[in-house]
Amino acid sequence: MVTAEITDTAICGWLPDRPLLTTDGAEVVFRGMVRDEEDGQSIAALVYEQYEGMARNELQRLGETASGRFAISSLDCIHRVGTIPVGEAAIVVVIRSRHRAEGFAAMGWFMDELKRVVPIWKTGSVPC
Amino acid sequence: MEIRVKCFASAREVLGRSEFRMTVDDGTTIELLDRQIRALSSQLDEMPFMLALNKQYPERGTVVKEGDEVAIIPPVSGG
Repeated sequence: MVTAEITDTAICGWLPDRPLLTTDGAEVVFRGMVRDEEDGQSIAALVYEQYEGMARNELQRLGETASGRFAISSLDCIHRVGTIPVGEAAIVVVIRSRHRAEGFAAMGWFMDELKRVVPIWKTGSVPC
Repeated sequence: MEIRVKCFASAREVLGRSEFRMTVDDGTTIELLDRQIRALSSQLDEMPFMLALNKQYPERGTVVKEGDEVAIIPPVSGG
């Protein structure tokens, strides 16, 4: 079970809308936050741009590939685009699995692949 | 025939436009199109971009068709 979403609104408290299975012993959550510095400069926000349509489809495809490669029961992710203030999340990924090792492995693979193929870019920053 | 080319992020900065139309020969593969797009700019030629075809990464040897949407995908930086 995989879901993927792109949004231009805040996602800091986002959680997947699905019940935790009693067979799931692990829930791995990754939140990618905007830091207060980019290329050595203090910033107030980062600007993310997507290739609309393809970005969500690639997120979904990656999630489904992860689901096939690793023994996980679900992967849900949401990526924010537009202007994201420092301290707020740009991405949240939640992976549930029977054991933690599969969840950690799947999360590492998913994030590495996301940063290779999903057409989303940091295209600018807002100075302090 | 004519295709539509979308430019994102650094590719848009280099080419100075977010989209343009391009005339290519019938039977043009995605690899040939890649070379033709690189020939548009020396800066672009040095960029390790990928091409998307109709919002998907194409298989090697895919032939583009009239009206296709091709996108120049510079190195991504999401997450």
